[in-house]
Amino acid sequence: MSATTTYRFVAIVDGKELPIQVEVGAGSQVRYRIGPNEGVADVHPAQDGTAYLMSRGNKQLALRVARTGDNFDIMARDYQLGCRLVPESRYLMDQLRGGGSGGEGIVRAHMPGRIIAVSVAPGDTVTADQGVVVLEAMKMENEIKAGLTGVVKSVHVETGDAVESGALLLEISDA
Amino acid sequence: MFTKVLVANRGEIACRIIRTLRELGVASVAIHSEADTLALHVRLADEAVCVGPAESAKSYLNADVIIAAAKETGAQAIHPGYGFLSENADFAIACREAGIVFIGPSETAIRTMGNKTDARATMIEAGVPVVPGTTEAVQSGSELLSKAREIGFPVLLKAASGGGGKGMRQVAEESELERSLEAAQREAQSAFGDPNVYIEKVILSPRHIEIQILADAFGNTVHLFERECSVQRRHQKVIEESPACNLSNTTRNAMGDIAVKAAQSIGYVGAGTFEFLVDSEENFYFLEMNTRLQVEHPVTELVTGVDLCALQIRIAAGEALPFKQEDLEQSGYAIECRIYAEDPSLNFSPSPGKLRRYRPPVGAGIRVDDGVREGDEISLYYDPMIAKLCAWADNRPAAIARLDRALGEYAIAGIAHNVEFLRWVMKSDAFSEGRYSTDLLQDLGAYQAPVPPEEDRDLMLLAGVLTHIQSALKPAAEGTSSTEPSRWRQAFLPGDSSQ
Repeated sequence: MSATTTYRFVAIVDGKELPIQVEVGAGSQVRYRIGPNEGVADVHPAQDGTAYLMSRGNKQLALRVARTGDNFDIMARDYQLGCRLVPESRYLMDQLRGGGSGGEGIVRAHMPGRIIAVSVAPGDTVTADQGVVVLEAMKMENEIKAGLTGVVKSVHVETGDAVESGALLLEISDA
Repeated sequence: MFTKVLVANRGEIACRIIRTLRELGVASVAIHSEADTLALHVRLADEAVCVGPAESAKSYLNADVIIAAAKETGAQAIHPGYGFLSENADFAIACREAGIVFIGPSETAIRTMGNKTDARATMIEAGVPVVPGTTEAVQSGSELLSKAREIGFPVLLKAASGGGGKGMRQVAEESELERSLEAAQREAQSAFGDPNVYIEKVILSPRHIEIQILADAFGNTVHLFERECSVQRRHQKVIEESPACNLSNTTRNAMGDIAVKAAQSIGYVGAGTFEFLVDSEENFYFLEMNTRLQVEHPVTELVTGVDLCALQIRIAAGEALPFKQEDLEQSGYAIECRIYAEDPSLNFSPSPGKLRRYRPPVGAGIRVDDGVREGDEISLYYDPMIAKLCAWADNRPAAIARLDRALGEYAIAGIAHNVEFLRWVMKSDAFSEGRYSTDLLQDLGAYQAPVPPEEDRDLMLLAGVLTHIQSALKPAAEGTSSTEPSRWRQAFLPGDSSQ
């Protein structure tokens, strides 16, 4: 009756980290601590484990979860929440390895597509909201902005290239 | 009536046509690219033929292969849907030469109305008011500049063979003209294979209202009233409704009458749409004619009770319209919104990927036109529209409330989408009061996705964590009972929990 298992996670929501602690026992009650908040929810999972009915008192919330690795899309009727959920042990390991990716100054393709124009060259000065690359996908032209004011250090694509989502387009160094 | 029809399209419109064919007792042939082998439209059809690789230019636009597929399967007619080959006169000619009926208007009508400058000239001749601008394609920057000065900035550059807002650029002042011309020509070339653009005066804060017409081969032409399509982003329609609110009956009737007259003047047969810009004084100007079924045709079907797709097929099979103008009326109120795979928080950039969760809403007064199922891929090769969601009710506020309810029930994950954005637009005062123009989305300003209250957010995170834990603990043999609390134990604590 009293046997419970405690799980610790770190959630990354909107770039902020939230520690999560969940106690799962034999019943449908789950005790949780998320950041400074504490509570107990009555949890009823659906057959496939990706839909839940949760209630606290009379108030209930139907939730659906879609997952790709550690990336989660969690849907309620009026909201959708995108977040990363990582077991605390793994999160700490990653921190020790110095896992940061240094995103500043690196312009990446945010979707797959074809490069139809590159409007800057190494040495050019750019402003944060200046368009630097035009990417065509799904029949539309999408202008990709520099995102940082500075000097173009290197350009890694040329017109006509097909790129995958996340592909490195160019690097900009701080002015 | 035909016994077999080939549907030369994909996605929701192919599904819609195949379903209609089944209702008419007509066998259907789907075509698909290599990327769409398992797509819903392929699964719905009686037969399916692969017509090429993923790129549209080599598959859904591959006229020779598509016609060969029709002959091989014994289809007597081809329904082109919208987009792709639907407004391609050469394709209509090739169909005729192959002895196959093209379900659409005549080659001449497609060619005339498909070329925007010819269309303008034709409409001027028929006495239809048009927006001031050139009737000829503009070639050089200097010619463009003198024309633009003549009609006054701001001006609009539009692809001569265009549609759907592609290859279209608004130019506010002279200094932007050259750069915009290049971009417009490039987009026009890549989207339509024709770099020609022309120039038009910008009507400030107009409404976009269009008239649906139907004409048979026996001289009967009717209109099926209007659709209000002013909610647009970058000239792409997002929300459409019928009837248009805050439009006088005098204007509504005048627009319908002119559309019928214009259709008759070109001997039009089939379904078609006249698009108009309407200014604040309810002056209206012909914008373009679409010689095909429109994406937003369901709202007209919902308020008139007419099946436009079925009638298109009947007319092509030589049947007469089963009603006259006086038999038609608008009943109630319908609103459609387009669900796109795009990310409102990333400047609406397309978001291709796998639909990890896809559950469309149901319930009274709701219509969903989609072409996907959960697990399907939204491909970067094609249009990012996932579905069209329509609500019908007997008045506009009820239709808005119903659509909002249904959007809340829509569950889509794995890709970014605009569902919450659509709810946000419809909750705005301008939309709910029906006082809006094509500037609406721009006027609404920056969109912020709704943030759940913290106590709900906590439960959402909890659901994510439980999913994470559960998959780590798998496999858990599914119990035979379905809803008892003991399932909880099975799901999360397989084996002995007291060890």
